[in-house]
Amino acid sequence: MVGLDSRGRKSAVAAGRFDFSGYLEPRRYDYFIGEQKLRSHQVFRIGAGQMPDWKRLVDEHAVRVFRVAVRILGCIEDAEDVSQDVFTEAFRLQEQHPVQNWTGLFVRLATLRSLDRLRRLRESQPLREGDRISTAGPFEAAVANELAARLRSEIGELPEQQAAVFTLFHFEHLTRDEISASLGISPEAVSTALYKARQRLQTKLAFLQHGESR
Amino acid sequence: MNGEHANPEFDGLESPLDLAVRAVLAEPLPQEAIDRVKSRATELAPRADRRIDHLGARGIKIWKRPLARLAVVAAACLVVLGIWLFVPGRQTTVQAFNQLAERLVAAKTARYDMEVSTEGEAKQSMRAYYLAPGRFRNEMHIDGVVSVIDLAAKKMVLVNPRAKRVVILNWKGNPPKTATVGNQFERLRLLLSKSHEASDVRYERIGEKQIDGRRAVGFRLDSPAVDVTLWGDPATGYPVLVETVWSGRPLSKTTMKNFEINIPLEASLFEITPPAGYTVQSLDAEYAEPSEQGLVNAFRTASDIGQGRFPDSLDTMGMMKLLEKAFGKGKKKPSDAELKRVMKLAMSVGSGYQFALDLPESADTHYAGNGVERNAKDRPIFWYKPEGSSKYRVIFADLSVKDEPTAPQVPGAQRIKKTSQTATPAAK
Repeated sequence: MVGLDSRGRKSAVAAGRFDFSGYLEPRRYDYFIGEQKLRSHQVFRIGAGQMPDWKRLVDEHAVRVFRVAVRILGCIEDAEDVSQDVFTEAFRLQEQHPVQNWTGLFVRLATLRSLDRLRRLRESQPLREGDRISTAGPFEAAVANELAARLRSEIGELPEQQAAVFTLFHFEHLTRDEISASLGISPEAVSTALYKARQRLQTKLAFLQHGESR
Repeated sequence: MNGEHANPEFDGLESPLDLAVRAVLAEPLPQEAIDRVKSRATELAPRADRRIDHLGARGIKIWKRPLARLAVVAAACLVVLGIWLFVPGRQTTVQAFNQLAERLVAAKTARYDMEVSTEGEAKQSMRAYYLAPGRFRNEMHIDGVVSVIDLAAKKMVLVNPRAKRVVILNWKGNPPKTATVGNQFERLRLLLSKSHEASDVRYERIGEKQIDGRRAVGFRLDSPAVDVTLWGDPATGYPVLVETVWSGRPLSKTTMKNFEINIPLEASLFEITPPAGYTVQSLDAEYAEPSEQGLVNAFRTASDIGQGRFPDSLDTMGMMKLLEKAFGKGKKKPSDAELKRVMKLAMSVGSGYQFALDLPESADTHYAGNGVERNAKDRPIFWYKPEGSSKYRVIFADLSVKDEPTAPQVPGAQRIKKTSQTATPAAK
């Protein structure tokens, strides 16, 4: 996917990838989900800072990063990979630019990187069943696995912003304002995205209620 | 927290979406997985601290490229797999070997120490670097000579800081895939990437040993062309030591160790622009697609250099003897013009030989031109059986080519082995 940057150029950055190299102005970094420009400088404002206590940051955020990833991906191994990716990317970012809002950065990176991977997995292979997580008895586990897999599959079909908002709201239980802060979009945009996501997912999953085959 | 959907704006999910969300939320979070994430993430700090000291801005850019980042993630994932693959009984020896080899084949960057021992020559040791795709740098410990190869730019640059001299070799045309332009790492990577396709390869586990204080598990790949020993660290899944012995003449052994794989490397390491103030000599080398006619032309050129006689062999030793003859005995330092001339001849011969060296085992390829005079009557010097053909193609000393129903019987004919780039006496 190729998005447009703030100057209307096609850009991988605009496609939702962090890459501060090249054209971005120093001390202000626009960030994009899909083709919509977000105000990421509100999320992690760059200033003169110091090397953080990395171990403390990891201890504080590892659970959340992993949780976001595993909720979206439903696969422990993939979630671990994404988590590692997130921490690596975050570390690289702070080496160049001190980060003020680590929680926002981690939440956003974890969400977007997980959604990236979810989409790639959908493109390259059917969702894997063997390494999924199950908790209940065989029947309940099968039903739960089916529901979870269907939901993840449909989330992967959503526009990235809708998917991010939906997962942060329902899986992380963040409030509208927290999502707004994490993703750097307005609270109104959060509401709109969530509404659209829910509508679409309800439609897509309705067949389960009515016993129809998809 | 949003109060478990208590926000009236998002009032109550409808089933089955509600059920699906609950199903996702009911999934457990394995503590051991979280611990692994923490452990690996925590390790980023000291490693990155060391790296950043010598990273230039361009190096950082490399690191920031998605591919490079993905490589690191993949590497982290492989660490977990590495523990699994070395446990005896969980994988076959072939699988275990190939998993380990894959670390090298799939590497995006690498830094390692290398020693090359070639029969009859002094051992060379160097610090080596690799940046995908196709960029290599070797820093010789003696003399400080640096060689940089950029396959995409089709250049090899030799920098001699003491003499303040740079030699640039420009390849014209597309080098054949098997032409590894003398880089041992690429040669090894090519070998390892193809080894699973070979039918005459044997794999074995060779036990454990301590290497630089680390426990390492060893595997050996044995083929007619090469013997590769890979020692891997079961804790990380990465190679620790790779020893490669290439058959043929001269016998060549390569040892690679102290691997650092998928680390950020400065692009400036692979700079092919000569430093200011250095004398620059530029040479062109032409590579043609390997063909039978190219081989015939190579035999013609080689016999010209050999004053009417064909070379002893098609391997490195044979080529070195040929070059000695081309330079002429007693000459210590060839002029630039002479160097250019010989280099052109060598490239022409080398690319011609490549046709023979690329032929599959089933081609039953042989060379019998050792010392034979050109135009010797009815004297076969080379033959092979094309794929799907019942007849042999035979090149004679007069450089004519004919189809023959059977292979010529010539005492002392050398069998040419694919990928080995060597010729050894046939068992006939």
